[in-house]
Amino acid sequence: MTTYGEHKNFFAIPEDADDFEPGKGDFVVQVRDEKGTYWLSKPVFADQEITAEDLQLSK
Amino acid sequence: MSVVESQLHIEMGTKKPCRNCKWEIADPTNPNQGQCTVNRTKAGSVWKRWVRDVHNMTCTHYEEGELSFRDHV
Amino acid sequence: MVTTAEAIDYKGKKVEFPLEYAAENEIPDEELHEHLAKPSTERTKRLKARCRWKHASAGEFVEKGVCAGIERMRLLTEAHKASEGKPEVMRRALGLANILNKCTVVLQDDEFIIGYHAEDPNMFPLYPELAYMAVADYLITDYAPQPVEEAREIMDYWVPYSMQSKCEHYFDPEDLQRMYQVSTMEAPGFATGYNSIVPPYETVLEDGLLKRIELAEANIQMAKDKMAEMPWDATKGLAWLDKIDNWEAMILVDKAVIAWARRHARLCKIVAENFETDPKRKEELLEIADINQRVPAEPCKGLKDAFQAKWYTYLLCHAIDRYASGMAHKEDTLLWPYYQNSVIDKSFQPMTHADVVEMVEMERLKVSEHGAGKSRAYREIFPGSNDLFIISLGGTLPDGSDACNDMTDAILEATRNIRTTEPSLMFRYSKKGRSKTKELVFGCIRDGLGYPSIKHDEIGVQQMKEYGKFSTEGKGATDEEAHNWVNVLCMSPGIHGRRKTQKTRSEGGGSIFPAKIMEVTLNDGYDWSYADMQLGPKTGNAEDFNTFEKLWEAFKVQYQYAASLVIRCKDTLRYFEGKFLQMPFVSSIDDGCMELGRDACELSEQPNGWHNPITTIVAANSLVAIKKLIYDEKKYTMKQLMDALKANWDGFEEMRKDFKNAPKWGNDDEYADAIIKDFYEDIIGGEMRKITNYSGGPVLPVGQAVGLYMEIGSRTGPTPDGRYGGEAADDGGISPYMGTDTKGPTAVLRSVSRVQKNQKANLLNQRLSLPIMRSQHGFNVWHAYMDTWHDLNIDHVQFNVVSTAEMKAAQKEPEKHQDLIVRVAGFSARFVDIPTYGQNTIIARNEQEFGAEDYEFIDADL
Repeated sequence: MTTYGEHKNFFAIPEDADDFEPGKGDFVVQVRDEKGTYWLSKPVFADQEITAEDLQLSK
Repeated sequence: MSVVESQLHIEMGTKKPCRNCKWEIADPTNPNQGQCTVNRTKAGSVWKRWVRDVHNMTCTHYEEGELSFRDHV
Repeated sequence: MVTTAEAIDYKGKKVEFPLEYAAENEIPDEELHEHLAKPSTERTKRLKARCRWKHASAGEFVEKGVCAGIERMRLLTEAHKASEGKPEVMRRALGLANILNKCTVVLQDDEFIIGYHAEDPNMFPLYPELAYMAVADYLITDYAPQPVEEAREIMDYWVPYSMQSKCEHYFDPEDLQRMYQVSTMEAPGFATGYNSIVPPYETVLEDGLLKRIELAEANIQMAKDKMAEMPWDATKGLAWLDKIDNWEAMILVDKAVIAWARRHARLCKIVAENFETDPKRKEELLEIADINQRVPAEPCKGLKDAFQAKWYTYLLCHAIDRYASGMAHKEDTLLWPYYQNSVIDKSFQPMTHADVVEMVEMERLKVSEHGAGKSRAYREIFPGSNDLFIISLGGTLPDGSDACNDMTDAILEATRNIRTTEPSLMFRYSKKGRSKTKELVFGCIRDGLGYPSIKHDEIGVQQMKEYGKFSTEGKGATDEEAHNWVNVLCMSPGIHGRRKTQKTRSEGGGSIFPAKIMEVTLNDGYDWSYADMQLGPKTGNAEDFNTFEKLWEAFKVQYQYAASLVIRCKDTLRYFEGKFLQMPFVSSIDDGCMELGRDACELSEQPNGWHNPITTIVAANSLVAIKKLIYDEKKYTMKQLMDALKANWDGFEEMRKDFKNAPKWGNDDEYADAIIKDFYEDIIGGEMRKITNYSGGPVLPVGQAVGLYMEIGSRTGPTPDGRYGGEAADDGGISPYMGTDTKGPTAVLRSVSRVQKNQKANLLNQRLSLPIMRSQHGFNVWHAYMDTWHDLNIDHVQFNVVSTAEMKAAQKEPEKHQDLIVRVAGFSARFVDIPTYGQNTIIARNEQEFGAEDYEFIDADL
């Protein structure tokens, strides 16, 4: 079991950000498909268990 | 034009419903209804017929499969 | 080599037509358009090569991998469940805020303008709060949102709350059944979710959202102070309650929008600092991060700011808060102050004109991969394109001077370079417009993009003034504001600016189809050829019409039934939008809503009552043929005609020839034109004008055909104009039927100019000779044609300049013709993404050759 907070792609939200909450961060992944590459970021909490889908995406 | 001899008709519980027929595409608004595209004019135009109930209507031109978008309207 | 036009004798001299670009002598006709794209930089070349096109055709997406996302519907539903008991406008605000706060944000490689409206750039969102049938349709497709069971649960949850359920209750189910099949009438917006909007971009760019929040806070304080006044007066004081709710909702969503934009800034920074290895891109990402931290919160200072703030506003208004088609704004006027800052003064985000061209190319590619979660009907009717994105340019400023500027030129240059099907452009043609810009307009047209379409600047201004008189708020467009108009969708003009814009679809849509109405008029209101059911009132059988006037009157009744019903549907939807589908973000950026504390869906300051009759010419040509052959010459009886139609002319070939050869619209034929002029002015416009809509003004026809001319054609049996059952109908509001305008381009203009009363927004499609347009005389001929068109007081015209040889080659080898673009109706499409049925309608259009008499009529300088 891995949490988002333990993952290298988790970035804690700075305290001066509009959406700051303790433990909240951006989970950032890069996706490649036949058209090209792109980055996705979604808000998560550090103690939240990482989903299998996100784990796969972050590889 | 080549008129289809056997017209669309209701056959409750048919195993060959318009929904699964390659000549049918969904109604523009209500997905329980549809459009039959089997009729073609001499000039190649598609002369559609409305399908009131895609789950329970059928005809002898039933064919499974999918028509390319190029053969629709 | 590209075919050249034959020399002619004109004004006593022989005129030859060598190609403008000699290199085209080496290019075969069949592949010309594959040589015309010239992305201005390596970056835009790459971006075009990897563009995630989302073209639909025959109701399906053409590219594999495109699918509906579930994130928006999931987050909206979560917020709706959690906000029960709160004021409805606040529930809407909380819904949008929940989406923005929790959605996935997207950053693609190579992009400069960033932001997307779904959780993946291959996806698009759905809108269960609008039409449950539209969502149900997605669930049976290969591009259903995943997991599909969750999507179904969400759809089921929304059924009772949806606009569709709320509105359907007030209509006869039989009427709805008639509308939903889209043959005499288009399905109402509450059953499709279709919508359009003109966002007040100006306030976002000029004020920034922090300023809008301050305004709302000040208004709330003012309201509370007023309510505290003594003695209490409930007749005035209670009105503040709704206003306070509206202002609070505006504040909530504007804060959420700022935070959402800044999440994008943070993503750029994270990628730059942790992942990006290219130092140049790293630097650029940090610059993008800076921009997205500042806008749309703060006012824009340079052109990069403006493009980004505009894009966020676009995403919110057209896709995230609610689906809305169109891209209605006056881009050159809107961006000109920022162009001045960045290019001329170089005071902020300094750049060159060439840099601006690249920015426009990048924006056009962003639009090209924008996905719309529209209903099947709308996936069917813009074949070969994505959605209706139409930007307006040119025209005149409020002081009456020429509005063209270097930003106009940059947009036109980029458009011609990058060659995309969208966004389309509309150019407001005024004789004051500078020649330099008109040459660029012509360059796009000559290269076969099909746009800019051209609208008459002065007619548009007059229309805004006329509609302004009917404002129920007493706040219609002033004489100066009347110059601020854009196309809302393909054809209909509406105000742009800080207030008085159209916020929801009170124009277009809910079309009515005279071709099919003509068919049922001949059959006592019954449809024998498509639905096999009664489609309108019982007005008698054709055999019983012993005079032409009786047929005319029966048609009028059928038409009024359809027009009144569809507009009643639109206004009923508008009523419920104001109560349950408020748009607090749009309200917050509109000066009127902000000042008055009213919601954008509910407030209507400038009426806009356009409505679509489409396929008018099939009906009109049918009336001409009937009058001539049955009532005037008595060559046939109505009984014989009805027998022939029921047989689809089979066994009646000679008779069909007579009806086919009867006078047709677009040939400057006095007999046909007299009947058709009356048809447009007395019925199409006259009957519609009797109707008053939500915004208090009369309803007027705007014939913007889109691909409905194909759909309606395929649902309409044979008609008395000699058309076979299933054949396409006419492709524009006032365009001649394909292939029947045989007397030259100026004969078409003379016919069309005869219709002047009760309408001035009818689409005119013309296909011009490619060899003439690509010759050294091309611009002069087109310019003289346009000035003549202007003098004839015609509202609109648009052109295809593409050879039959190339279109036929593309039908044979579609993969080799990805850059072949054609004008279908109010939109341009990738030719190879259109079904063969539709492709054939473009090929069948008459390619207008100019003869000496045409050149004389337009006084061309050759």
